[in-house]
Amino acid sequence: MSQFVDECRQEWKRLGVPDPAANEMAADLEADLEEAESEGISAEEVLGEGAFDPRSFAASWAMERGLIHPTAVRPAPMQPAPAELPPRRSRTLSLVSIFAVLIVLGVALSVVGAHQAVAMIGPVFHRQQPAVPGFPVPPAALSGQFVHTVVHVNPVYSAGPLLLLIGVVGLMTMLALWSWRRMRAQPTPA
Amino acid sequence: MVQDTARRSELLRGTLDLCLLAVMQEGPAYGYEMTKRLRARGLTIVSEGSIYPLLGRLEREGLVETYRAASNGGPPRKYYQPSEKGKHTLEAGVFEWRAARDAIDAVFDSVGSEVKP
Repeated sequence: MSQFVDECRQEWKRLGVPDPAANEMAADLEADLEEAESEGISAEEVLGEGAFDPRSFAASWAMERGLIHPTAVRPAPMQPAPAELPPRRSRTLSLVSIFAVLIVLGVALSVVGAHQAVAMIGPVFHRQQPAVPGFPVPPAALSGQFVHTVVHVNPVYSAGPLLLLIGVVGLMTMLALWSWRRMRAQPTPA
Repeated sequence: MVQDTARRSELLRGTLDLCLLAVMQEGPAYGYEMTKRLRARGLTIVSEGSIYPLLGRLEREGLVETYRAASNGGPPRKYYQPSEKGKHTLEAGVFEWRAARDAIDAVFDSVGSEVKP
């Protein structure tokens, strides 16, 4: 019994619970557990599931009494700490930023790539003009409908639409997830 | 069977604070004494977690008043009793519980006699 109380004391000390409050809780707990033991009642019947986890029990009690801030409750050093994850809000903002950058980059590459392609097609039209030197060029020859030109654009620019697609799909997926979470969080009407 | 215990646990978890206020209204009590009063009525708290954090919350919310006094032949204990606010909370909570219980009973009326414990 006293080992359980000792572990609670250690946890309260670690969490910075003031000594008078920790002493009071420890004394009450010890007295209750001793009385229960004398009546043949197990610690589990007195403490519930807390009997198997003195640290959580101690932290929970101190927190509910308002002796420590909820954020002060962290895994004890002996327990392996879970990998720190950034808060959901900052993760969401990071993802939105990434997708927004992809969209901007995609649009920029698409526009520049399109301009480059037009610039490469332009001279081909002009080369059609001197077919018969000295004669005016018929308008149909300038329409470009019979001109077949293979345009080789830098592959970097061809990635623009792909980046744009990834960005848009990513943002839409996040929007859908956000809506779904909001719907799930709302209480259903009685 | 495990599922039955879990359901019972869930049902009790939402009303354990009222149960504590009710048993301490019978007379000031310390932690373990409340456990005994609950057990005498068939309520064990094995799966519901301890009453101590709950008593801490009741105290923080001003629903109970406490004082220290010697117990029968034992060390001084912290006794709890409902404050005025706690008594109002208990009355309102019991009213809500009974309303919910009656509504659920009405729903279960058609199956009640067919279910064997």
